[in-house]
Amino acid sequence: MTNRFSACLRLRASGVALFLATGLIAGCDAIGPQPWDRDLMAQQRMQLNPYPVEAAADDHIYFSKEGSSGGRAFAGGGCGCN
Amino acid sequence: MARGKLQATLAGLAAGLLGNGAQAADPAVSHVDTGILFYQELGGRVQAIEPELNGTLVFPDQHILTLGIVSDTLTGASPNGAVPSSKSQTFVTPAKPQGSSSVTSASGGTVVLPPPSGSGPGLLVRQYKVAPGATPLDPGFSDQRYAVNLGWAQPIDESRTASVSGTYSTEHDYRSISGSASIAQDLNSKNTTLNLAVNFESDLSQPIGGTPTPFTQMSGQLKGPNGSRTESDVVLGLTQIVNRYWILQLNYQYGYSNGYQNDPYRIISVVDPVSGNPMSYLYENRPKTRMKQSVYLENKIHIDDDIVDVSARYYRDSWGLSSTTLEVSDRSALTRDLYFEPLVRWYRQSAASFYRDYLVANQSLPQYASSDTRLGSFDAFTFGAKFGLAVGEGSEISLRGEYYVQSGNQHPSNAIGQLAHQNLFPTLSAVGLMLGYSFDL
Amino acid sequence: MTRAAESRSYRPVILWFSALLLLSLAGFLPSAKAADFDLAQFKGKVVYLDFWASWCAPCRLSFPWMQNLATQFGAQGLVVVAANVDHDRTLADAFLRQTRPSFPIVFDPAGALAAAYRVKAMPTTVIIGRDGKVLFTHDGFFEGQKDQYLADIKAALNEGPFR
Repeated sequence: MTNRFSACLRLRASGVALFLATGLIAGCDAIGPQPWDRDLMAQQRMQLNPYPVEAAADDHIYFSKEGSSGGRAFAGGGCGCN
Repeated sequence: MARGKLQATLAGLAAGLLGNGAQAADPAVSHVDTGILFYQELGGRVQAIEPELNGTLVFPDQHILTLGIVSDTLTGASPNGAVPSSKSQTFVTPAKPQGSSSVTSASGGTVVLPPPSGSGPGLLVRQYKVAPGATPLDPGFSDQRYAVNLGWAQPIDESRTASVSGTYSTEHDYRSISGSASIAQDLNSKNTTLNLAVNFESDLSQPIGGTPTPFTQMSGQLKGPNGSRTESDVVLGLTQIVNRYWILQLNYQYGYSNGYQNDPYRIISVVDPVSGNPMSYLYENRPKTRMKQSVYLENKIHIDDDIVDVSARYYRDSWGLSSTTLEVSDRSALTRDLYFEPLVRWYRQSAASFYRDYLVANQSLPQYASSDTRLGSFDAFTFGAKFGLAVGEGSEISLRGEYYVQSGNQHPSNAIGQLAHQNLFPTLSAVGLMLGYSFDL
Repeated sequence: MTRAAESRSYRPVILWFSALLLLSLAGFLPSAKAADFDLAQFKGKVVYLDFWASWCAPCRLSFPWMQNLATQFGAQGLVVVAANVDHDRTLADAFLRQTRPSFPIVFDPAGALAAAYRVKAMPTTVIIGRDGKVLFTHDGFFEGQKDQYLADIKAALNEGPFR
């Protein structure tokens, strides 16, 4: 059961990656809002890591109680200015 | 978080900081985040107090300096790796000399013995008893950890940003140094960002009394030299703003670790093949290398005035350990300044191939064995709730409570003798409370 | 089960392909003129048309500099026009109350004017010559490029038969 679920998850993940790669190939400005429609993305609460202290505390607890680690990175998003 | 587990937490700090801080998208003004975590495991186990500060200083044209400091004070009792028994059990472990900040002779009913002859100055032995039927916990443990992180990020051109950072973490028996570098490429009018980050870490385990030779008997004797370990990680990330409301992040992480991976204080019980009574205790043995991979997907979606965050992670490594994580949170505005954010996290882990609840006396030793439940099979749930209140331009105070429960197989069907009546995986329950205050400079 | 899972995972790809196609087509729709901005009224003047929003930090930082431009080069025929693209007008108004610029503000909440000028970054400045033709486009606002911006403005002011 676990193997099939994880296989399914991996396929889904590669499916997402596939469609995103297609978007990039299809040409610039093809996916995503116009630069003037980044108002919601500019909000502090829509950032990928809006509360770094909280995220670090969570990561610390989970790392010390569980056997897995990592996965997150925080580039991108925001208002896209400059 | 037992002394032995602390070496893992430090690696976690570095891993958690991979790609952090300096890469935060477009901070407009300099900002400081502070918080303090109060963590308590139920049943008299570990307690931690962890204040943390994180500062982001923004200079003209998006040149950004980040600084992080964290302090961690741990006390309490932590499982030593042995299984419970219907008879009382006695354990020994090297202890810090009296007069240094850690263990005292009276903590948790432990006794300090004079050192075995020939073991040199400054080494004491701590002995503690565990009642029948009780999970063996090492009661006399406290520690203090400090970590500091410094990072710098700046644009290379209009669509590329580079960042570097370094972390130093220290406690009395463990030290970790790590450095990372990353580059982010914007595409599609900055709707798409590709990110590549590398991290290198060097850890030194300096346990009290030295590192024991794996699979030797538990003792208070002076042991081996310090154990060191290195780890390298690479993260490939894709951030995509799908539309005005939805941002998506997809990361792949690969890590390779080589060196001393053992918990130097952790033992595993060797039990009688018929009665299941413990006959001796051996120090654990883990492989020297560990190769890990994970795929992480996160979605943040703005719906009306709510923000829904759904993330999933799949992890597997060369120790045979694999896990699936799902986390959902929903931030909703109660008033213009006050928000409420409930959170649910589900985590399922499959044990490392060398995980054993115990070893059996008449069987040959496996190549590797560890009874650290951190490497076992279990399900864990986190239920959290956070309140945040804006208290000025760019300032916010917050209160966050979390309840974490981790449960595994308490009664494996193949448990031998008296072990069939013992709880071989006590449920871990913990509560965390975090107070936060963040403000613009 | 595995086969079904594989075919299921390709359906979203097809859906997204279609979405992409539609989105790209949208880029070729004829550009509409924003209701409250008519370039014709500025014939003979150099227009410094700046697209900004309250949520855009470099935009906010550029306002004192733009005010300076209006004061310094107004006599030579420079008109600074700031086109606001906020969805929420109240946020723009709050910023304008703080800054009180002397130059005109145009409101473009639907982004039609921004689309017409093919804005690719925030902020974007379009320098339009005295004959109504676009001379320069600046993507973003950088402290380190102010000299270049000034050079472009002066070039625009000195150009053309009207000088």
